[in-house]
Amino acid sequence: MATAELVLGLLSAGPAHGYDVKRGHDSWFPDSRPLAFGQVYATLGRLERDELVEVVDRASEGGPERTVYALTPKGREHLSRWLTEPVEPTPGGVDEMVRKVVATIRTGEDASAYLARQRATYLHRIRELKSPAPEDDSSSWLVRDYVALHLDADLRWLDRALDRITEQKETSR
Amino acid sequence: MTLTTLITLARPKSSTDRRRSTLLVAAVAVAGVFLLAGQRIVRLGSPDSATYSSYLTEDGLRPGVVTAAVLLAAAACALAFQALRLGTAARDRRLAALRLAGATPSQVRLIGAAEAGLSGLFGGVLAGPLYFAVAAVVQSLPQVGRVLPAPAPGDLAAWPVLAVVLALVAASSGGLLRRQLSTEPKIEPDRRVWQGRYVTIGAVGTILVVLSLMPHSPVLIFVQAAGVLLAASGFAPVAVAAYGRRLERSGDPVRMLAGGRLLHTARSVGRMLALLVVCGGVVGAVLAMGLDHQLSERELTASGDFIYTGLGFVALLSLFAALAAGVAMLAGAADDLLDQRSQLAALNVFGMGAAQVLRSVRIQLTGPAAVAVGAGVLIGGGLVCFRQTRMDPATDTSSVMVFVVVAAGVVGVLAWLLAALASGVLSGQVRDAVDPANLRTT
Amino acid sequence: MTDAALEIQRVEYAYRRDVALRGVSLRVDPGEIVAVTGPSGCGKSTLLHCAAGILRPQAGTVALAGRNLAELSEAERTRVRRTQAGIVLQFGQLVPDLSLQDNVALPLLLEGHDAAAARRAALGWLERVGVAADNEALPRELSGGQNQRAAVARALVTGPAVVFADEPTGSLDSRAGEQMMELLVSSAGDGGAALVIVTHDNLVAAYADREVRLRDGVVQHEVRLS
Repeated sequence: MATAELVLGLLSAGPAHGYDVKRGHDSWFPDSRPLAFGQVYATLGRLERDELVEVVDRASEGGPERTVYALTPKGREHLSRWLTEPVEPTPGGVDEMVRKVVATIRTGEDASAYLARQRATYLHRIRELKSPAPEDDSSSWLVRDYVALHLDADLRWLDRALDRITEQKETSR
Repeated sequence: MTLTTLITLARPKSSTDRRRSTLLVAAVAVAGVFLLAGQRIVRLGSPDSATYSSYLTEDGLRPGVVTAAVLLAAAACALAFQALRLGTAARDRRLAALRLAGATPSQVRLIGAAEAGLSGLFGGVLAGPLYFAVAAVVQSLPQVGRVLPAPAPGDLAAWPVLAVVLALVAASSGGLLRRQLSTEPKIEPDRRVWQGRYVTIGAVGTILVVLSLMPHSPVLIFVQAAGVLLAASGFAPVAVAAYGRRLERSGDPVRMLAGGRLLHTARSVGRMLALLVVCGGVVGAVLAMGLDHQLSERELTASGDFIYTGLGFVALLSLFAALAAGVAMLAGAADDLLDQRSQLAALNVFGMGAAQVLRSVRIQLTGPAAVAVGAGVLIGGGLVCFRQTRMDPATDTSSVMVFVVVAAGVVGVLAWLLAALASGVLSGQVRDAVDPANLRTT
Repeated sequence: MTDAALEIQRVEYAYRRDVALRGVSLRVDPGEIVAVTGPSGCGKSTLLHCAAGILRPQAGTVALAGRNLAELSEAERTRVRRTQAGIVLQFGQLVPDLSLQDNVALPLLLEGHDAAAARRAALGWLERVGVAADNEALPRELSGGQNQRAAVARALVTGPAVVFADEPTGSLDSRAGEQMMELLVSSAGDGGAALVIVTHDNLVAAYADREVRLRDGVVQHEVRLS
């Protein structure tokens, strides 16, 4: 569900407590379910194990709430890669696309490479869906049409989102 | 909308706009000259019969001269009105943009009125010095030609009044132009239906003419003229449609374009051509009468020069009417260019450039106009000869007929050249129409 | 020169004070389908007009079927454009006074071909696009879709190297648009022509082998779709 990558994104601005990570996530996705602390610390633990994140300040007493985590260079690289990797056009993929775009805005990354690759993947899939299949029966085209139109909608949202990002960048200059 | 805004929006923007307003100014100036002349003659007390032509000195004839001046002014105004119709794609786009920006129809009309009014005012102002110049020239003519008295101080008062009146008339015409408010295409009825009707009208006209030529029927000039007009009005559109069809089948794209346009505008073009036939008829009749008078040794009630001046007036009137008809055809062609600009721009991509489109416009105008005018001269001259022969069987009108035939040819050629020159006026409209900017609209 | 159907290099174009293209390069191989996309005002229609030889760029080169347009005289450019570039626009834009068949035959007639042969070829293409039954009808007597089909026939009748389509489905509903795209792609293929489609519609862009996206007069990205 890309929660790990989101945590990496939340740490990209600088080292932070687990509590800050949870607060950051909830402000990035105000309409989603708030991130549970348990999930935050579990994710941080996994990331630390994978050397994508490291502890920079361990409180003398108290538990993990007082620990400060930071991105490692490997973690930064992993984050970058995730931000530019297109999402596969599967039914559940749009969630990840939204998270990716939000993370891109928040971390100030350049989205043009991502846009190119995402458009390529989705357009390719739309192309596949629109070419008539050999065993075309009475209803399979219905489903393919549905998926194609929704992929189109996702792409249109993506375009608008990135247009506004560019606009915001240009006006803030 | 403030006055400054109005003037800014109304000023001519491109060279084609300027050409249009120049034509308008010229036509209004000419009308103004005739009107100033008319009012001068009206205010003439008792003219010296030794200085001026009998047209001015004889009380019975003076109203006729004034009428002629008014008619000539009216013809010049008709010409001016047709010049107003010479819009351009750029002007259309500008007005459409203004409408989209929220300009109300009355505001758009106001702009059209201001455009025309400014040109009208300028023309009216120009009419003053032009009139004085013409009057001075007329004074230097021999007595028979002095149909215009020397200018009087009252003329200086009449001039500004006239200028304002002309400006107002121009403004109201400019405001009433249909095109600037709606560019909906006109629906075209089925060709077979209207062709039948027009042939019938033409047949009726022909019958009238034939009847008037019968040995014992009273020769009523009006019946004859009406017959000619009806015959021309009926047959001209049908002939134009047939010509258009032939051009369409030619396989030459320029001719096909011209043919298609003629085929689909046959009725309005035919109407103008009928007018040209009548004008040609008048000129033919005048030429025949003049030559016949010259050749015959008949006793006359008035001096020859007197008759010639009268004939000259009539011929001049015909000329103006013909010019108005010609400009009307030109304006119609310009209108079509506007209506079809998006398609012409697309055709431009396929290689039919401005030069070729202009050539197709030229084909549309020259042939029909030349044939109409030439035929008219032939008909008018022929009818006069026929009448002279009937009235006095002894006269030999063959030389007059020969002259009429030659004149028909010469006038036809002149009309062709004039039409070719006139279509050049549309070069700006053509370039505007094929411009790639038009590819973005319907 | 090259064997590309269309080769554009560093083309710049400005309308008076509005700079539409700031150095765009594009190469289209024979038979390829390229979609040019981007937000409105990005310069895609201008690019199409420059590529089709309708506009002369202020800088850069345009080579259509190997002929560099800038090196040609006005008459030669028109000839190259006529024989190597077909164009399909949003509204068909056929000449209203002529029948469908005459309209489709026009490019061949402008090339100087014999009238009868041109009309025959036109009828052939009208059959290919499915409106042969209406060949004597006037454009205004038919629907927008039928007009567009005739426009496709007109674009292909001279056997061009490239067919340019500017928002070809813009005035059609989604089903008619789909049919138009299928027709455009298949008939361009039949005619051996490359296809350059300017569109803002993703579903139309999906028909392409390659997408070139413009933004503010420059190429934002180029990706393979096939």
